Parts: sequence; structure tokens; C-alpha cells
Amino acid sequence: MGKIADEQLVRDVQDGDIDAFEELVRRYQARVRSFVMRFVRDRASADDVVQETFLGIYKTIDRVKTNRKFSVYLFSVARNQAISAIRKRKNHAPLSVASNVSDGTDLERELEKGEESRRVQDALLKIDEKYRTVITLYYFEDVSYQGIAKNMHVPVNTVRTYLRRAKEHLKKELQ
Amino acid sequence: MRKDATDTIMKTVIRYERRRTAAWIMAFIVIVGMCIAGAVFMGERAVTLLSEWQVFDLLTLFNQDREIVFEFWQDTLSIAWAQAPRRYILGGIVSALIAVYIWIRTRKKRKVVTKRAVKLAKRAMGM
Repeated sequence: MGKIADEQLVRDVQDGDIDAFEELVRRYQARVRSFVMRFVRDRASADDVVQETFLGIYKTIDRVKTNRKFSVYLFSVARNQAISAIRKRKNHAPLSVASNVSDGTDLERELEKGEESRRVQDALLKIDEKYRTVITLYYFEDVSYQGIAKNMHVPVNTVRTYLRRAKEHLKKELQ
Repeated sequence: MRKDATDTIMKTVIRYERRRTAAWIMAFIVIVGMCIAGAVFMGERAVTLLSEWQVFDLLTLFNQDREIVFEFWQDTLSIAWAQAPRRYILGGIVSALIAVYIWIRTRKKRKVVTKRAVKLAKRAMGM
């Protein structure tokens, strides 16, 4: 039997099927957690944010439009929850990292390297929130330009601009 | 190993859903129950007063011949209505209508809540 589409599962949840929501949680909790970790950077907070995200989604499930991609909505809620968590915590730890990222296209490869990855993640925390979101969604969550545009409520071209600037800022932070 | 937080998340969701479903069912029972109780109470009061004030006697006209009924039915009904406890009658009708309206409007929601309640019960029983 094929995998049921997310949107169908959302419809099932809207019709009262709690098990369908469990399936959505199973599908996305790990990805949402790693996405949130890029923002909050501590496991306990990430777990709380993930829980809040799914609970928030469940509470407003009747308003979720099934003609739109569920994952975009989910990551958008996760992002907002993560930002709220950061604001609550007022965690702005200064980080001084010097490194080189030769080119934006090499970014993904750089992130995969252990120590390098940590440096990039530290640098990510220092750049503007919207740039961090774009980088995280595009490179870590494989969300398309269109998906990011929907998530951030901006045109696709703005996403391209954000991504370019994000890489510039990131590069600056790493130098 | 990747941490699977599905159970933890679902526990929170289930707890929330249990509260929400129970609150909805309670609110529904209380509101519809009050409307039905109001309608029954006002209907009963109206019938009692109609009997006490002998308004029903006026309606015996309708046992008469057709010509008499045809000639006097409007006058009879207007007199009966003037003497009737209108507040109770209208109150009863309004209460009943509200109950029917809520019942119809919540048709889909009731179905969803029932399904959720069944799912919650199954989970509680470990099925």
C-alpha cells in the first residue's frame, strides 16, 4: 500500500481521526526537531519547541488548508515557535568564530563536516533571523524556493535575494 | 540514534484532545439540555394556564358544524390568542427552535467529536 499524502492525513485529522495525526508526527518530528535545533541549539528547548509546534498544529488543524503543502505550514509554525522560544530565553550568546567559506555553492558540503558544521551553525545564529530561516530551510530541510516563499510569505525572487545575502552574511561571520 | 518523540508528543495531544472533547460534549449537553428543558417547562406552563383560564373551551367551536366553524374561526382564534399566556408559548417555541438549530448546525461537528471520542476511548483501552 502506498504512502498516504500529508494532505489526506490532515483531512482525516479534521474528520476526527487522531491516529492520522500520529502518523504526521511520526513522519515529521525528527525533521522538525533538527530544524528547530538550528535555532534554539539546545536539546531540551528543541524538544519543547517541537512539542509546542505539533500541539499548536493540532489545535488549529481545522484551519489548515488541505490544498496547500502541509510541510510548509508545519515548518512555518516550527520557525515561529523557535523564535518565540529564543525571545523568551533571550539567548544571544556572543560567538567569535573565524573561518572561511569559499563559495556559497560549497556551503552544503561545508556543513557536513563535523567541526566546520558547528562553526557554521554558530555563525548562523548571529545572522539576521530571516536569513537564518532561508538558509536552514533551503540547505537543511531541502525546501524549494517556492516552499520557502510560501513559508515566509514573500515572493520567490525575494527568497533568492535573501539566500544570496544570507550567504554573504554567513561568509562575513565566518571570516 | 535519532530520538523518536512521537509518543511524548501524542501524549500531550491526547491529553489536550480529551479535555477539549469532554468540554465540547459538556457544553453541548448543557446548552441543548437547557433549551429543551426551557421548552418543556414553558410548554407545560402554557398548557396549564390555558386549562386554568378555560381557553381550551373556546376551541370547542371546532367541534361544531362546518358553517359555524367557517364563520367564527378567525374571531375564536384571535380571542383565544389574546387570552393565551403568550410569553410562555413564544418562549417555548423559541427555546425549541434554538435546540433544533443547534442540533442541525452541529451535525458535522457532532460526527467529528463522536469519532474523536471513540478514538480516545480505544486508546484509553489500549486498542
